[in-house]
Amino acid sequence: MPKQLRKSYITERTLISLALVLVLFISPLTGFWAALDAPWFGPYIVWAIAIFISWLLQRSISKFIPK
Amino acid sequence: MKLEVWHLFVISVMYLGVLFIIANAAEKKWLPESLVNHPLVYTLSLGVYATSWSFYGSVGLAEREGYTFLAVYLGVTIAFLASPILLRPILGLIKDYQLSSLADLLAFRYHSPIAGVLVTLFMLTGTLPYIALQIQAVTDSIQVLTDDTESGVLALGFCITISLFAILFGARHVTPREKHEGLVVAIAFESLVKLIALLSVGLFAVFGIFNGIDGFSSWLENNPQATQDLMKPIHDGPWGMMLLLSFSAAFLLPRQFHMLFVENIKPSNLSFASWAFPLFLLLLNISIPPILWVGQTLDLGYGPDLYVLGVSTLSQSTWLPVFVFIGGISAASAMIIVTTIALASMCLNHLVLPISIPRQKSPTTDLYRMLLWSKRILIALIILAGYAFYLFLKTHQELTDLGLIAFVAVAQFLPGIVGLLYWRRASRHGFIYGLSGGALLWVLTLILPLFAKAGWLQGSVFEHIMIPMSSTDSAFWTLLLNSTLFVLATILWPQSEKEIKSANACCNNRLSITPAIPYASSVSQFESGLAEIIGQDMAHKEIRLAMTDLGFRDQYDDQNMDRHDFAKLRMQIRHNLSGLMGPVLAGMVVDEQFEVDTSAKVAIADTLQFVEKSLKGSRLELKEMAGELDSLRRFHRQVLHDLPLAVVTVSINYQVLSWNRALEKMTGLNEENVLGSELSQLSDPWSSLLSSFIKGDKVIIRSSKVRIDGELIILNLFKSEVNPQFNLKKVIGPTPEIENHGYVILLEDHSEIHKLESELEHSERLASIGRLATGVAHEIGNPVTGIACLAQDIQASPDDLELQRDGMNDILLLTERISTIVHSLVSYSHVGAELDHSPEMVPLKTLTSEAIRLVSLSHRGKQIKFKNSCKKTHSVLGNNQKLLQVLVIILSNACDASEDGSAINISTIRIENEIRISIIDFGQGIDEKIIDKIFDPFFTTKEVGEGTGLGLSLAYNIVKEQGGHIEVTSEPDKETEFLVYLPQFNHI
Repeated sequence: MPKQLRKSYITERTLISLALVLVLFISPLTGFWAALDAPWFGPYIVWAIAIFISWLLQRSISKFIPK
Repeated sequence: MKLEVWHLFVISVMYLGVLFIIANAAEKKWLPESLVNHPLVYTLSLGVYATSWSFYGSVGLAEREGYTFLAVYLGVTIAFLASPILLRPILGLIKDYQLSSLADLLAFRYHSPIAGVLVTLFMLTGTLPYIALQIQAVTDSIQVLTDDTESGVLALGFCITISLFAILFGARHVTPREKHEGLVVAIAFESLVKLIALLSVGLFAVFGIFNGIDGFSSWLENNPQATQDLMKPIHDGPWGMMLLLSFSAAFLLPRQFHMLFVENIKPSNLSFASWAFPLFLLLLNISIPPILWVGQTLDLGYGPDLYVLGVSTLSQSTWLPVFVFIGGISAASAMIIVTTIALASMCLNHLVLPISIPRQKSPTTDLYRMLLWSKRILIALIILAGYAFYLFLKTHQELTDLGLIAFVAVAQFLPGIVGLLYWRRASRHGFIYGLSGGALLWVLTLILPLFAKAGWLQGSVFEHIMIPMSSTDSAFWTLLLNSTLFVLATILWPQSEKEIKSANACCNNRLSITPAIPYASSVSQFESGLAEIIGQDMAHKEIRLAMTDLGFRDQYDDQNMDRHDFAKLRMQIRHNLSGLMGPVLAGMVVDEQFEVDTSAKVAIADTLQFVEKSLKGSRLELKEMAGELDSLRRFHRQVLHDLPLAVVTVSINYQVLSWNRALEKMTGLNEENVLGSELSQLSDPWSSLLSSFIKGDKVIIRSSKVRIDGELIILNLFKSEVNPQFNLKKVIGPTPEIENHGYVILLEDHSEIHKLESELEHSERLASIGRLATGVAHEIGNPVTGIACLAQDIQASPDDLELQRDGMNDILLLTERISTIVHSLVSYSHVGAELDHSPEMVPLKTLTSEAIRLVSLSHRGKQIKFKNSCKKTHSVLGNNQKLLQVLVIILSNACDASEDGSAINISTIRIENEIRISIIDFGQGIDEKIIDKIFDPFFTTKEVGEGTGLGLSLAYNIVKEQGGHIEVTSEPDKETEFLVYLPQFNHI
């Protein structure tokens, strides 16, 4: 894959992941996992999801990143 | 058991001793390299982010702000998630230009020594409270464990020990190209200790205090308010601003910047850390809620900042509080060590060196040593300043307050980082004014109130001008002012030429700055020029190092180097010096010692710029063209593949290159099985057919017969040589020799057409017989009448034996005559059982006689005098029946055109390998206007019903099929001559 396409692929994937995580953390969705009657570990679950998204992102772009 | 101060002192010293051993083992390469360079070690080293604030203060923050304390780590998760577009580009710049701190990076980007100084001073101011926070946390923890209120001496001892550690393992090298593996491994170890310590307290809280998961769950059921208190601030508190602050702190805090970028050994480790580091932080914080709830439930008598330690003292054994104390020491020491190393580097490059570096060095001066010791002294001074700050604060401060002050400070660099990575037009003025405005407001809103709280500002004017507010509010207003000034000043003061180059280097895919051509034109000139500033020995080392970096071999001398090589050498020296003394000073040294040939510089810069632009444009065009060419190639390939005509292409070595679908259908051989095979390797009959054709001289073979599964098919074969060289030459002129040419063979299945032609010929023959019918009846009727008369005579004279014998002989003669006529008709009208009419020898004398006999059966034929002059020795190769039909057609037409009693001459002559049959009539002739049309199908000059117009057309095709051709010449009202050329039969 040409360098420009590689860069654009990485940027697209990163921005999509970033948008997903921001929706999790800074949106009305916080009212769901941070509801007063939500389990105490709710925020940690959301955090773990963000980490999983980060892992997926790195996995998908690893072949395009020079070692 | 109550611990004594000296116990903790010994424990601290022993723990720091272990750190020394670990760091030393890594530096001495006693630890395997795979472990030292492992991404997990790098990830754990980033755990320096978790300071005493995280270790002790998170519980306090959770008490006050609920789960908002998690935002301090979730912002880090977001920053690391964005690492491909945020952290990795910065890492690339740090490595490419050998930068050693955030001040170096921003001074390089904005090409301003003032920017470097400002960043350093602001970072120093913002971080000192943070260092004081660490010392305070250590002394607080000692007080919890020993009840000793005077722990100042121990704090001093702690500061001295970690100063020693930082000097020994954090300032071993002056250049960032050499990493401090010992420091990295030791900090990673400290992170592991912190993690295990906090998890241990958390497990003790759940299993030791709440009596297990069930007890913990039932406690939560009975106390729903506990969870609600944590959740509520997420909705009401400064959640978003905390995320932003921790986002910027994740990579802009001096310790984070240092471990993340400067001490990075392998860039690929960053990918691993992008998810592993947030996971580490999650594990570190999972224990905070249980510890908080235990502290709240049991009323430990300490502030929530010390619940971690307080809960650990509830255990029966001493090891847990001691382990937690060690964890706290780890958190504090790691932060202080790495922060001071980073700050020392900034102070050295941007505060000390610009004013202290001597203009002239003696050849014996060891600048490396001087820089190293300057850095070490700075480390000690910064830790001492932190200790002084701790002492002067006197009154107890919340850990969170001090931590957030530092977070708000580093957030002021965010606009500068945005300009660095994404806003190429961002200018030096914008950055300086923005940072100055943000810093000033930060002092007014956070630092002065802090001092006022400590009682420093009583009665001073500062007490009146300060604007106390929360850290998150301060963060909002400072960033707003900072960003506004940044944008406005950038608009008002555009970038200088040097700034534009630096901005391009940072924003444009790290495009290298164009090397300028120096006046210096020899290695010795470079060495002597550099020696004037950094001393002879160091200059020699730096020149050799730069040449090695550039890949210039040792034997590279002035004769082998051109001006562009010296331009690269100048640039590399600048990069290497940047690692030693910062980019600004390095730039100044290089610019001063190695002046640039301005004319050459401008010329080469312009040229390079032009070439760059052209290449960029060409690359785009080429990409588009390549796409179009590829589409075209695919289209042509598909056309060839889907062509209803069977096509095979072969290389010059007769290897099959393509084998299309029609050919697959015709041959039953799949493309995938024959591709790459030689023609001779194909199954028969294709092997022999194609091989002989491609190696032969003929470019067309018509009506080649091939038998497949017992069925005979007729093929026309066409061959053409594919020579791309020929076509390229026509298009673009002379080109290099291209060997990639071959052949294309087309195979046309002619079986159906051949069958139709045969049927047409047969129909035409039957039509001819119909036209002969009257004559035939007459020819047969006369002998039959004669036979009848003879039979009557014999019947009337039964005793006349002589009459009977003669009569019988006459009857036999007459029946033989009838038999000959019938045989001729049957033979003429016979249709072959199959398509296979193999060529045979056809004697022309016999053939023409037979044709004359048939034509003479007709009424017109009887009126003509045929003169057959054909030689008996002349024979042709062909099909007897078809050639007979040709002659019948031509002779019939000649009879029709001739007057009664006129003659038709038939003769043959041999011309080279052919026999020419000449048929001349002396009739009305053919008009010159229509002579070219007589062989066209359905063309006739006869009345309707007298002719079909297919005769001559069929004759033409038959002769062509037999490998010959027909010509015609005519003189109206005089004579017409048909010349039929046929291949001579060769006896041999």
